[in-house]
Amino acid sequence: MNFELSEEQRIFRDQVRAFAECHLKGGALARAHSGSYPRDIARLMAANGLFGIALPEAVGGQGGALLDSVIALEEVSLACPRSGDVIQAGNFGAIRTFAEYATADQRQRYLKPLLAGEMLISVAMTEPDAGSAVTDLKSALKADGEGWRLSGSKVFVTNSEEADLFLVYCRYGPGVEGIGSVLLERGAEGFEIGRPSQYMNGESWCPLFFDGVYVPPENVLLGRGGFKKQISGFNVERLGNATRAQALGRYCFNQARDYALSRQQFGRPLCEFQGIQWKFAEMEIQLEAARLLLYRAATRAETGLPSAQDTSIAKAMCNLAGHFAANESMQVMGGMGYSADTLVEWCLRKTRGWLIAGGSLEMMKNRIAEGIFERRFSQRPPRAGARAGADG
Amino acid sequence: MKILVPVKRVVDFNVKVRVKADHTGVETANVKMSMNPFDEIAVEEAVRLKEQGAASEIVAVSIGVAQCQETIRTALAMGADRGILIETRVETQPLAVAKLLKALVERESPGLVILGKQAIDDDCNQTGQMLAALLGWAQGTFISKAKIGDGKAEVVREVDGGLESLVLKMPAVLTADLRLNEPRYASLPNIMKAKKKPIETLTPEALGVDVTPRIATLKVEEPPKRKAGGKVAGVAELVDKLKNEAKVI
Ligand SMILES: Cc1cc2nc3c(=O)[nH]c(=O)nc-3n(C[C@H](O)[C@H](O)[C@H](O)COP(=O)(O)OP(=O)(O)OC[C@H]3O[C@@H](n4cnc5c(N)ncnc54)[C@H](O)[C@@H]3O)c2cc1C
Repeated sequence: MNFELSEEQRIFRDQVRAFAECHLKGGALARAHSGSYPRDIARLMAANGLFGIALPEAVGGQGGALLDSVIALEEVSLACPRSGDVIQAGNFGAIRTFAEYATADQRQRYLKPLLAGEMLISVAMTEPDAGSAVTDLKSALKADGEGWRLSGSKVFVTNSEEADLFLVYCRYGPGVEGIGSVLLERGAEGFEIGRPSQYMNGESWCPLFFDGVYVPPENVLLGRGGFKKQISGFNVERLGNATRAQALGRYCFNQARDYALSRQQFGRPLCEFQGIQWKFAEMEIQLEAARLLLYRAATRAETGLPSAQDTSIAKAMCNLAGHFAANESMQVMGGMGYSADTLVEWCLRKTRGWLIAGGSLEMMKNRIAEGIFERRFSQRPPRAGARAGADG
Repeated sequence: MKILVPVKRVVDFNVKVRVKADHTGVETANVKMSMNPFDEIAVEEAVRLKEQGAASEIVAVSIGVAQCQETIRTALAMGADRGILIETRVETQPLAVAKLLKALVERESPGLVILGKQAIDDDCNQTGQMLAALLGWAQGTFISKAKIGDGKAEVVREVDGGLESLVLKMPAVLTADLRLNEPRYASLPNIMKAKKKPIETLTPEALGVDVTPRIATLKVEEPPKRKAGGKVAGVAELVDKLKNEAKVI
């Protein structure tokens, strides 16, 4: 077993770090506090080969592995936490599922602008009555000539205020087998984007309403039976979520470490108090463990998509470690940590969201337990006369 | 035309260096090392000259421990074609480096050697000048602009108080200043391609160069800590202190 990055991975990490230090570190606070998606940063990253890192060169990607995108996401987040969301959008989010399953024609139309940072794609999965129980989603397609008509609604979609394209989970028929997905462009007739609400992290989300929106056949991404594939793609999104959680925890740790070395109370620096030292030891243990699980999940993703079990373990651990470190760092930094003059309080708010987003901590634990017992545990109430385990 | 670009592995510019406990130098164990920033500029210039068609091959060379291979690999990822590592555990000083480079120039016959104006670890700023002298070549140091023409190079030098324009006879030695260019970041595909580019390993002995240091370091010390400043109540007190304590006005 080798715990070292390869020479190429180290060189790539150093190049990304140099880029992030030079172009992203300045303005990190303002970027986090602005709330809107930084398109200028997206274009800059795309121009520097930081979009589509794990996609093949033949489709306009960089030809790297999943671990390469994890490394880039870490380095960028450590210099500018908010810019990590841009690496997420250009590598881990809906773009990844899209690139995996898109037809040649769909790639032709959308992948180039997406990889150039000109276009932004969001995933619309969650519905008012289908959160953790995502297979309960109701947004449905009705056949209309060659194409389809989509009706329903979505909530909590990240970047819904600015996205140009939406990867919408919807159903062609009943059951898990009936679920697939389509691509909707912003501005399509019958597609309404509602009033924005604010998340605790300062970002906004808008409810999406589909009122018989026409979906031409060429905009079907996955047909009936596509749910499993979509979730495989979504596991990459989850690892991006895990990477950012862990990296933001480390960002806070770094801030708090500098602070503990310089801030004096009772005539000595904070780092000389054992009560403070142990906080750092605990953070270090959590963050290092999280990172190893994250790297393992990414490294074992031979086909480019990580396994559900590895992903669930890594995501749960990274989400907890990141949030823990942000919270402890705030404590170390006292009133300074709690104030918006540093990014620690923002990171705390941000890492809190990842315990819910992308499959909550509880749902990750459910999945891990299924792996342990090698059984499906249906979360649904038992039906009279039927054994549990039929679906979601 | 072939261009030779020496690249040095140094402590990364972001690292806060610490003096070793025995005062023989600065701590380099478990410290992040990178290519000397001025050498990155030199590599970038060579790559641009190749992209413009003014050069046909770029050879990156590093002198030092085996890990210098990573520095060479970074140069290859930026666009150099092949690498040479002169492996030695001796901490080579500028004259030894210049002699090693001279031996390589005789072997490789480049039309141009582009170096960084100095390395950010020892700040010597001597190697380029010594190499030009040993070779008997023209030199353009601290350059912020270079144009390669037929048998000559037009360069702009950053000198005290202004800019100096020179025409040099080729072959020549150039040393890069900060404003020459903004080096590119190596992309992932180029990093992976660099893996396949050849790196040859040589030794000072094989090149017949004695690299024994001629200067002994007696002691390395931290600069004295800056004392905390005092606060003044207003302009009047400030003027008074400048006059009577500091005696500067
Ligand atoms: C910051 C953020 C960004 C998001 N971005 C997107 C996006 O881009 N696209 C998108 O489609 N959605 C997005 N979401 C929505 C997210 O996927 C859902 O919030 C998540 O799946 C949980 O669903 P819910 O909020 O409806 O909670 P619920 O499912 O109602 O759950 C409420 C609580 O009950 C727990 N719970 C539910 N079922 C079980 C069970 N079986 N066992 C144990 N505990 C259970 C949950 O863990 C949670 O704690 C985002 C959410 C957040 C917070």
